[in-house]
Amino acid sequence: MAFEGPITPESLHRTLLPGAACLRAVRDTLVPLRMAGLNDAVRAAAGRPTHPELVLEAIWESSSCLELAANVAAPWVDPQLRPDSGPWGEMVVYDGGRATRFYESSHKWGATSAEVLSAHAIGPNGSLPLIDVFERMGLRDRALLSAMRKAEAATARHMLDVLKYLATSWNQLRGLANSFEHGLVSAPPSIGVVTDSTDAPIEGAFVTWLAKGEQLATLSPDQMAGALSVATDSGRLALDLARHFADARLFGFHGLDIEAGTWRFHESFSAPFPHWVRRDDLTSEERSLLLAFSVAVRPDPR
Amino acid sequence: MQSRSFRIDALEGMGASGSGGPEFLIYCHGGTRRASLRRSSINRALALYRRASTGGGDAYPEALLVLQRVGLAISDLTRLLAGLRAAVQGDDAFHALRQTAAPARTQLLDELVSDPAARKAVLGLAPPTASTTCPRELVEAITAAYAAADRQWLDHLTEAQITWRKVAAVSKACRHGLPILPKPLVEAPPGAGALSQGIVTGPGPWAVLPQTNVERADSAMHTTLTVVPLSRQELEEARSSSLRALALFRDLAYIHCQRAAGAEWIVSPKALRALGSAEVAVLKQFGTRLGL
Repeated sequence: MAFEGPITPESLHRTLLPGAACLRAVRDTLVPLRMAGLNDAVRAAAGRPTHPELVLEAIWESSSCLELAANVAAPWVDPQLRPDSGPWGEMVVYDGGRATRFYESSHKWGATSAEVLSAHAIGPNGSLPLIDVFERMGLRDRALLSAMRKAEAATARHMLDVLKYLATSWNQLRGLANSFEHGLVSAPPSIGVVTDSTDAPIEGAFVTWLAKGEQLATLSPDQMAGALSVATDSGRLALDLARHFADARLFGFHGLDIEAGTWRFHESFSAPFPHWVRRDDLTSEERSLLLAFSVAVRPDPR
Repeated sequence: MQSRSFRIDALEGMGASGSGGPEFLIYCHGGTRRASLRRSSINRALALYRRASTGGGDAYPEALLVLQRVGLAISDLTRLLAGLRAAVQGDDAFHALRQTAAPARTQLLDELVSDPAARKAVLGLAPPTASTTCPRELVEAITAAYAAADRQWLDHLTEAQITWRKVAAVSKACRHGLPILPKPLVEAPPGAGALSQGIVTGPGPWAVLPQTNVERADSAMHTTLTVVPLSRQELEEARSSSLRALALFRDLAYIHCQRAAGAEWIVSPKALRALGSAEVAVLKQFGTRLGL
């Protein structure tokens, strides 16, 4: 078994177990939490154009989904990461600018960052390709290795496309989401009206201030359905992304043999190659190969 | 983006001293609708929790959603209080409402619970003194009404303070995607390592909230672990407390609008119920000046 390395009790206690617990919490609790909140807000807002606040609430829920995805991923690609506790140490620090930095920098990323986020490149600075690990473990099936390479490239492409879309959504949604949370102003029609550039009133428009001194933001009835749609799509996509990040990073913990104190595949597990692709990126045969692949560990003869 | 503007047609008291500015006044005019939105949001989350926990499940995601929305509701109250204080001081209340950080709002809530004079000033409970335009029996009735309002509002503030202490951090963590570890992750092998060290747990479902402060000067990190109880009773109590906080939010916002519009003495309709019939009769006699 080529993929082994020592684990000290200190690193296990301070880095590995907390990291795995945080990722499992994201995948199994926080993603379902955000999905429940988003679906609830979208259901409440759908078809109620006279309640624009409900659209704002859905936008707020959506921005939370985007923030969760950013918070899970950023520690692995943030050059300012503090090394003392590993990425989980960064995840539990509230940093109000992290999500914006994450989405604003994502357009500069290449395939390497995507490979790190999908755990296709592991080890220090993503220096160890996962496919190499499998080859060093003895994998020789050319068709399977080819499917892995194809899935790796497709996952990177898909992730970068999704991040581009989410970066745009983040810019559109975050001001309105903050407004909903910090100072939503629901101006009743009896007080005033939103007017267009010709000073004509826009009936039913909703007004809010994005920040003190800034131009106010408005949502007219014809914009609300579109805003709700963007909030819904972005939120759900961000949750898929967060789940993929967490699940992919948890891959490494399958190889953790706590009793022996080493990195080694100590148990059999299935579908060990994380991938997140579009329907047409892989053939059905390639999908089947990836899903059928499992790591089976023989008893150590020593 | 299309060019749009907001034309204010009628905003009574917009320029009045102590109004806090037009944005704050508009915010207060929307208080009832805002409180209703938050209340509905909390009730929907609790309904999700009840459905998910039917049959004995712990329903961690839904439980956390309830606490997040409870936290947002009480946060609204603390923001309004920060705005009202700024208005009383002649400052820009909308700026204070939006920019006062959570620790300062927590401190304000503590202050209003413990200091009657601060409460009187911020909530507008200073009674008039007798004069030719304010007869003695009216002064006495208003004083009694304000004392009743103070007792009721103190109860709501105290309850909000207790719940806020429990939910503020977990609500913020939910909002911003910070990890919260449910009990099974911490208790079942292999555990959570350093994130379970030294925690004191109780019965029922709970979650661990790790909070890390970073001293930027030396990048030193200090993580504290808080156990958040998530039993059904805790959630129901948090909901009740937040609904009362929202009721207070609505009343204070309404009263501020009335005061800015020129009503001299404002008596909460709920406070009237605590008064004797003679006092109520006096207040009603002067009702137009009371903003009732």
